[in-house]
Amino acid sequence: MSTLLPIFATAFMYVIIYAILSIGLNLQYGVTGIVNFTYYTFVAIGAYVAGVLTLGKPPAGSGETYILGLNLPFPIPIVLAALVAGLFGGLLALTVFRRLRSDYLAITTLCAGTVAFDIVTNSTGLFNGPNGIYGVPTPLASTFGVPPQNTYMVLIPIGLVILALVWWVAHCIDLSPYGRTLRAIREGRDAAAAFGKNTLRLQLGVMILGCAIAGIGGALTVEFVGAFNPSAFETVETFVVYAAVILGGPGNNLGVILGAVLVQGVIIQGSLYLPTIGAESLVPAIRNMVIGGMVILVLYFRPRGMVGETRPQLGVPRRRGLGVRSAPGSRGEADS
Amino acid sequence: MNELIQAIGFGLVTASVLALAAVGLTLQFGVTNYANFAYGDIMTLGVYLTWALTTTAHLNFAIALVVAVVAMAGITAAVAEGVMGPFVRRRSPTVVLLMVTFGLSLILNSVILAIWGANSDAFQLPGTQPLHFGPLLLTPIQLTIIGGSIVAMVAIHLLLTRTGIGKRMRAVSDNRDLARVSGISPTPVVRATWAITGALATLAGVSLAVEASQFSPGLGEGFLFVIFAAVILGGVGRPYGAMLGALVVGLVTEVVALWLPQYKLDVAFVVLILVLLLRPQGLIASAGKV
Amino acid sequence: MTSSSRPLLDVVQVHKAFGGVEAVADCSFNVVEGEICGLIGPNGAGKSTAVGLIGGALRGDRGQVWFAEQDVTSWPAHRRARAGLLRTFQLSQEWPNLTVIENVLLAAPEQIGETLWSALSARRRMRRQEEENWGRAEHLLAVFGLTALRDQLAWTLSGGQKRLLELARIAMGRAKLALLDEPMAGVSPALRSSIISQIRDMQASGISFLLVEHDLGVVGELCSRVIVMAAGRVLTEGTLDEIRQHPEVAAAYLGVSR
Repeated sequence: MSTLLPIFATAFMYVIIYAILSIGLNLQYGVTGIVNFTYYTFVAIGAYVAGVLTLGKPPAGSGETYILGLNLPFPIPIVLAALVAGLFGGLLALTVFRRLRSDYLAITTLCAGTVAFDIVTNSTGLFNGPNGIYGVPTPLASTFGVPPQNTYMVLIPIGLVILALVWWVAHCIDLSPYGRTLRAIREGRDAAAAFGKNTLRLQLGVMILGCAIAGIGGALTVEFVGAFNPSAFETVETFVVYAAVILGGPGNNLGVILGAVLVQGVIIQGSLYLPTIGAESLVPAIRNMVIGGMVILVLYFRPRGMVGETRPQLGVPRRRGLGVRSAPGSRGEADS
Repeated sequence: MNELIQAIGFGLVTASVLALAAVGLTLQFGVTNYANFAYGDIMTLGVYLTWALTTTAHLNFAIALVVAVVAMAGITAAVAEGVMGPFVRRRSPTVVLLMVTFGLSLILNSVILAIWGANSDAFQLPGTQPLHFGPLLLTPIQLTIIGGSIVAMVAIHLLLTRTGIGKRMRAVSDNRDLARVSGISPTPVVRATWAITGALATLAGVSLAVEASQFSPGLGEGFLFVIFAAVILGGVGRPYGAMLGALVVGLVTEVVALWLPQYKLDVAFVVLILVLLLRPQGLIASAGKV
Repeated sequence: MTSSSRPLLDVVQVHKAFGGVEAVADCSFNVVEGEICGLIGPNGAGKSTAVGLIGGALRGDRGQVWFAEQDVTSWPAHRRARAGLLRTFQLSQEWPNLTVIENVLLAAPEQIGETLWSALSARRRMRRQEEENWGRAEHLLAVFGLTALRDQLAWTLSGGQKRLLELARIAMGRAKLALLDEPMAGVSPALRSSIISQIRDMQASGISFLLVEHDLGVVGELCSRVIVMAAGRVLTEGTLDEIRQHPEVAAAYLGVSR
């Protein structure tokens, strides 16, 4: 019992973080139809920013180098992590959203992700290069006298509060004309513009908001794990969040949380406790094949995911939300 | 000055590798009208196949390369037909097609990791002693890469201008609806394009692996963004544009490497952003593809 | 309004070339308030390009577009739409995976809850306006005979129903001027007369129209004045009968029409 609790608590904490990440990505991909292939880079930005804000100056003679080291108290690092990640998301979006093709954003985000990875790895002065930052203290742990091996005792409540907050924001968007307009952009950008929607600004806003949420998830990650380095944000990490959104149900916030439970809680956390067979990289490789294969199969056989896109109608009081079905295989984006 | 000449020499080598890769990617991008994010992993798979043929099957390198190129043409066409085909026939939106190629990228990379492991490997080839051409130092391997790339580009040119399938590829790439109306069935054209893509990806991957003197499962993925930069610089679906884009990106990266060696490839991203901001249609514009 | 004021829509010497081909070559024409003005011409005459230039989806190489006394030439599409200049597309552009009533609601102008901030903070005001809009949308669905389809996804509609939905969206958007790009394309004969009478009713309620249409029967029934384009230029304008007499038109268009 005492050995199982930390295992489940750790898995649970990861599920909370991935639920937050999935909601942010769902706003971009599921709701607005924006393909951001470097979502996890914004998680990394959040993690690094929160890390160097929480840490003090690098200890002399340790060989560590990173910027800031401001030793700021909770929750300031999380808030600033969100702001910085959102800012970078907005900057990236500004360069590409004037182009019509969704390919261009996908390509540019992928490129930006690779470059960010190179910069973080090579500029040792920024976030301590390939070794990354470590020893990030858990917020409030000393206040409550929580032992270091049980940091989840403070982080799970903090994570749940943040998840509830992020979910509430996404839910309000879902209910509002704002959310409906974002969906219209997904379904046809030209028509949305022809009916007075400032598609550029709306997409920019979603890019900022989604990336800020990624930043929050990153901040929680670094405060939970205590460390972050470049090996933590390879392209596959982004795909894992996409898997949660696509398997769960693009456009549905509860669906993507369910997806996070399945992908992170069951598949990834579960595979950690499988015995090693053959080479060390074999089990993760097979796991990734399974995730990739599931995503492709679900995109074909069940594009709505486990739970389809449902949304309550604001204008009609006392009415249940409409369960609406998707067109077979099509989310109908008119992409020319 | 000598350093600059040397950098231009290296730039030509990088451009040669990049041209192989970019032409393969842009042909498919133009004909199928969506970007392929698994392209880097197709390159890597081609490299490992070649490597397996030289080590496990003890084939001569040149023969192994030819066998791998042919095999990868078939594998790529088959995977595209089996995985992308159903989505294309159903007219899935571009967003979904992009996701599927992203998923394929993960699967291919995992297959490579599962079979060959995560460690670096290297081709054992002769010709690593540099030759002097005035101030320029290039190895026979690098000269072979440049020569091979030029031969491949000429072959692509002849394919596109002299053969029926090449002309049909250009027609579909320029305007799919018009091509269909003029009686060109897109299906065989798409299949042929994927096969050529697989072949060029393998050539590009092996050139890259040989030039870098070692390779690991992340080889192609790490290079993919440079290829995309060359493709967009040249204009999507424009093979000659991609050659030009490859030349520009190749030279720029190696010249910048004089000052910022660790960021040399990242300059490609700067090129990409500048193109998107200033001339999104690419150097050679293609109507209706922006 | 003074007599010197500009017509509702005034297109002045607008020009647009695609790679050397002059799709619209220094065209000038106008639409006055209250009329249904036809825009006809053979395929490739530049009609759809003209609609794109007026609606703001395309940016002209030179020339000006004036709408409701304002120079909107440099305005993006969404800003022109907010000023009351709404358009339809040659291929129906409904939002396929949204319901019919959502499609209509989306066209409502000046929605309070359309920004993130108001979606989070102004929820009561937003809800009140949304209920109002919902009522109006349901009313419009009834007017356009779409009530039974209210909760269906828009992609399930037939060609003619999609055209009716487009008209409902334009009414919902409180258009001053509607640019209709071939509203009869893909419409079954059964729904044809219904669409014609809907356009008439919308005109009576104060919406002006620029109607691009191939079918001269429809043009004759609806339009008091017709502009003829050919090869990117305005050939002539007048009533349909006057135009039928015009020798160049006969050569360029009517002679080869169905």
